[in-house]
Amino acid sequence: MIIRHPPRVADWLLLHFGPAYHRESLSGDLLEEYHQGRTTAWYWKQTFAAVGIGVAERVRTTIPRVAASTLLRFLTEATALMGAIALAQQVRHVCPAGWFPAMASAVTFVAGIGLCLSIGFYLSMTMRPHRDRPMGLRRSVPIKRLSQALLVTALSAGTLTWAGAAPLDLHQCSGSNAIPASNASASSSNAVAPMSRPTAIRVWTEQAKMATPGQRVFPAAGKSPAASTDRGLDGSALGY
Amino acid sequence: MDIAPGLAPDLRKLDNFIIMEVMRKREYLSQLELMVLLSVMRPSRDAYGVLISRDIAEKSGREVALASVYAALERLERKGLLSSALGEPTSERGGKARTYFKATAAGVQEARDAHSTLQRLSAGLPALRGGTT
Repeated sequence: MIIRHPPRVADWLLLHFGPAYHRESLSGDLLEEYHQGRTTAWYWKQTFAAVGIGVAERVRTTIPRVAASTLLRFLTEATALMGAIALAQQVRHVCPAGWFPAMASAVTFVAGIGLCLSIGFYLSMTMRPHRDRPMGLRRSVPIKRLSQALLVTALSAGTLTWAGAAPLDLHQCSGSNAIPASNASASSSNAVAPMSRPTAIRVWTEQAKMATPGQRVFPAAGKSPAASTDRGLDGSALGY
Repeated sequence: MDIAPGLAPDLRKLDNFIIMEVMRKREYLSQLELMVLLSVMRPSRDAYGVLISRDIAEKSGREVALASVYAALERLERKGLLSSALGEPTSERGGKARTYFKATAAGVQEARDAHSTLQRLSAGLPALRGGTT
C-alpha cells in the first residue's frame, strides 16, 4: 500500500497561519480525507480556506489591541520626553551660568530616556496576557486603562504646571549659579523682583494697554530698554 | 400585553428592562451554525469534523470547507451549546487526535427553539408547498 503525503508547504501554512481552535484536529481531519482519496487540489483548497479564516481571526483579535497599546505607549513616551525637554529649558533659562546648566542638559536627557524606558516597560508589563503577568501587576482591565490614562494626564499636567510656574527673570540665580558681574551689570541698577510667568504676562499686557502709540513696552516693570536686553513686544523675553 | 400582571408598576418596569437586556445579549444562530448543531445532535455516531462536514454536504448538497465547520464549532462551543473532548491519536491521521463534539442541554434547547420558529414562520406559505407566490 502506497501512503500519499500531502504537500508540505500546505501543511506548513496550515500549522503557522491556520485557525488556533483545535488546529491539530483540523489538520488530522484533512489528512484523513486526503488518505481516503481526496485530490491534492482539494487539499490546497481546504488549506487556503483555513489560512483565510485563521488570518481574519488574528487580524480581528490582534489589531485593536496592538493599536491601542502603540498609541498609549507613544502618548506616554512623547509626554515624558516633552517633560524632560521642558525641564532642560527651564534649568537653562533660570541659571545660565556656572557648571550646573551644562550638566543639567545631559542629566535631564538621560533622566528623560530612563523615564520613557521605565514607563514603556511598565505599560508592556500591564499589556501582557493575564496568565503571564506577575501577581503584583494583576488587575482588571478598566482599572488598568484608568491608571494608564491617569498616568499620562498627571505627567502632562505636571509638565505644564512646572513650565508655567517657573521664574521668568534671570535674577533668580544665586550662589555658585549667579549671573556673572559683566552680564548682571546692566540690571544691577534696576533691581527687579522676580515674577512668575503668568504674573509677567499680566503686567506686560497692562503696560501695553496704557502705552501711547509708538511707545515700546518691555516685559519687566521698571526696566529700561538697555537693561532688558533689547527684547520688545515680540515675546522672546517671556521664553517663547 | 402585560407580561407581569401581578407586579407593582416599578417592578414591572424592572422586569421589562431585564427582558430587553436578555434579548439584546442573545445571539441568533447562523444557517451554518444551525446545520452543524443539528449534525452534532445525531445520536448514531460520535461527531467529529470529517463526519459533520460529510453530513452537511450530503443533506444540503453543498460542500463546506472543514475550516468553516471548525469555525462554526468554535462559535457554538463559546456560546455553551456544544462541548468537545479529545480522542486518541491514530496513524491514519498522522498521529493527530480527533476532537469529538457533543450538544449540551442548552444546545438541544436552542436547536428545538430554532426548529419550532422556522416551522411557525414557514406555516401557510404557498411558495414552500410548490405554489406560485
